[in-house]
Amino acid sequence: MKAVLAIARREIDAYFASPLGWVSLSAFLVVTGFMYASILSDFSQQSTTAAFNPYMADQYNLNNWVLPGFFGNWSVILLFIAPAISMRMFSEDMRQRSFELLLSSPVSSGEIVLGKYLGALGFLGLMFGATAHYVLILYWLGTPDPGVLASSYLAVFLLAASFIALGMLASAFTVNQVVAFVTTFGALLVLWVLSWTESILPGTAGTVLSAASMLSHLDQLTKGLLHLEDAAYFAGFIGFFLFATQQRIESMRWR
Amino acid sequence: MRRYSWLLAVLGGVAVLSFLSVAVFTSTGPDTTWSTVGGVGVALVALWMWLDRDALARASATRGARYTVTSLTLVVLAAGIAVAVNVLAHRYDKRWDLTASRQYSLSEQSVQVVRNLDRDVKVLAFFSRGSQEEANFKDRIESYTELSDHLSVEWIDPLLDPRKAREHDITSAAGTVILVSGDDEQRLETDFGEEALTNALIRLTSGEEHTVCFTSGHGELDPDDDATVAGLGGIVTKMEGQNYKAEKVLLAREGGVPERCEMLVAADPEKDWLPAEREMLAAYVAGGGKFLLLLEPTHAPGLAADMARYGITVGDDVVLEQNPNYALAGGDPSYIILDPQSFDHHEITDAIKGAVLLRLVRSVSKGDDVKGIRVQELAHTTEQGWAETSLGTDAVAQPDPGQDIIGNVPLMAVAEVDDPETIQVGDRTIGERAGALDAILGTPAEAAPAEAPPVERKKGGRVLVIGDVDFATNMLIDQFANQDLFLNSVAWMVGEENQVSIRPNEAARGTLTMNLFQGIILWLTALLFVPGLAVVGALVTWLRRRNR
Repeated sequence: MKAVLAIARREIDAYFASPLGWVSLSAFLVVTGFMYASILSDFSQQSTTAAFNPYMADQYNLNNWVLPGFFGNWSVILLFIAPAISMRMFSEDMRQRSFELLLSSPVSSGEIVLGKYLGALGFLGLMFGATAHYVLILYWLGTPDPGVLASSYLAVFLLAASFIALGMLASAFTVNQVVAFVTTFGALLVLWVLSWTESILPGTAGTVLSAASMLSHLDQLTKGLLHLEDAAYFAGFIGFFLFATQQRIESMRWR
Repeated sequence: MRRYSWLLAVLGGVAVLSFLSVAVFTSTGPDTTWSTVGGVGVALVALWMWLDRDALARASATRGARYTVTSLTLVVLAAGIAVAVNVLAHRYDKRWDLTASRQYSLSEQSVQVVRNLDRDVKVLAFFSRGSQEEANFKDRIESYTELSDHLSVEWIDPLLDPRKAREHDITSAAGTVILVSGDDEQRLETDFGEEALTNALIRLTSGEEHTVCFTSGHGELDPDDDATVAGLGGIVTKMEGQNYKAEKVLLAREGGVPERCEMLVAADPEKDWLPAEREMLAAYVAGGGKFLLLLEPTHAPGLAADMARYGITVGDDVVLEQNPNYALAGGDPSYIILDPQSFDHHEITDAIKGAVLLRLVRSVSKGDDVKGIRVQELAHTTEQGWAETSLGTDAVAQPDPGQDIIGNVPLMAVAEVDDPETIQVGDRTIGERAGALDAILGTPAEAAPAEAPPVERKKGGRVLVIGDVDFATNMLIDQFANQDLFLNSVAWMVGEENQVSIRPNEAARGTLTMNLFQGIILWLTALLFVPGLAVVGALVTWLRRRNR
């Protein structure tokens, strides 16, 4: 476990030692900040109008309208940010030829994968932590439901964790970070739009493909509902890609 | 021969993949032909493996190949496990409501109702696919279906299945829910909340049917008319979806309100009732009967005046509203919008979700106190509304102090009879007895009260008067929450008011208001201060690396 934590710490340091980590963080905060301020301003204006019509006011709810919409947009931003985080996880080490050193060290491939993954999650956690002011502002201006807020954060964190797990596998296959980014982004995009197939393909096929889509498993969680099937999806997704990456690293060892 | 054996593998692979595609991507699944194709494919692959067994053995004997095969097998196995776990989780899905306000959790009363279901109930959910209404109802109904195997849901998009929509008379664009159990059904429109759904389940499973009688013969609106804008067929269809049976009665012919009528509705009689008919009504109310009067301005003045008997004053006026937030855009002040703030607290009005649109309304207020009868006004205009009494004149309508009711004009009132002895009932005979002409043309007092048949007096009579009928017609019944006003009134009159009353959770409101200063702070913080720190971090890192 010590080795895992040491690798994770080194990984987080690496993000902040290069401009890439800071740029990713800045881009994330600027884009989400703009969306956040826009959505809240718009909602506030609409609420004022709705106040004259109690029926509308009853329907126009911060927890049902603003939070799912905001975190839904947030998840789209992660489609771009997460591959940027994951693309360097193995590619950079391979490019700098420091990866051979890591492989020859007395650390198992499982520990390497877990360490790097935890490092990326740690960076992600710091990134999400930097949005704490969104929560504070919400409590300052309105009455959000803390349960909906918490589950929305959980939703986007699980989503980003899944993105990074997939991106890590892509990064383990190539020295080129751009290739890793594009491969991850393409795969995520396909998984993203699979939910559209439900209305195109009839019967089981549409249902199965839609169930494989990430979007289908995000919706309920951002409303404050945790489904067993959504939890199983994210756990299975992350578990599978971590295992596949571990197998990839292991295969590089005996080659 | 062996040189081309790989072709067997290719052909076999294609055949197996084709079979799997048909199995997964078609709703009917593979037929015998496709199953044969799949079987042949497996046989071809097996044949190739046997023919090339030596080459395969050699390839798998190398260390690299062994590792690769093992690794791939493990990865495929892991994928299989992940898929299996997901399939199981989907089949045995459970959900947890993480909202602090328990927004998606059922109340204890609803849980009991659903758990005690002893017969199958099918919920036909008519919603546009992908609509917000569908998503909201899905969240709601899931909390019901997970509690009982007797409850199932069929999702129907009226646009994709117009035949079924027509069959169930679906007209609402915002969705309709029909609960079906055997031959009985309950219909929900506009309100699909927990309270409405649970009450519909209770009504459905109780199997009780109520007879609502509509008076006729005086130019009343027709409950069978679902073709013209002035008919009441629309609301009657909705009533029939809630265990009510509508029936037309002619009081003058029946000689009284038939016993089977649990409730009597007079939907805007254009001509006046016979005095004897008014006495029949009085006898009915004194006997615990329920009466709903919907009356437009100037119509049936005698009947309108007779409501004083129950402590209700029906004004000879037209109510106009000048508050722009409570009038229709376009400026016609005879259209009046009532919202929850317009309603007084009452079981009829508390359950109305949304606004009600009335058209050409007369005032209905609490009249002189009648001992033993409790009267309550149910809805009012705003301060800017008034009841114009100068009807039929060319003068421009404007509030006349001392003559018109100005501000907060009452529009509907309800009377509950605690002491039936207080209701005076005169002669109810028409035609045969002496004084019959008096009964028809004169006052009841003149029509030989001594001969009036006895009245079986009973507590519990109810009279509800609404100064408008348009809201319930085919033209307006689907607008706003108009049907809620009518259906809630009927339910309360026959004692079918909400069996379950579930208080909305205030914490779930989620309000937010922002002034200019707060808006500036929001934008600066979200777009400048916090991202600015990250940009500074990026610059410092870049400078450090450059100077290294």
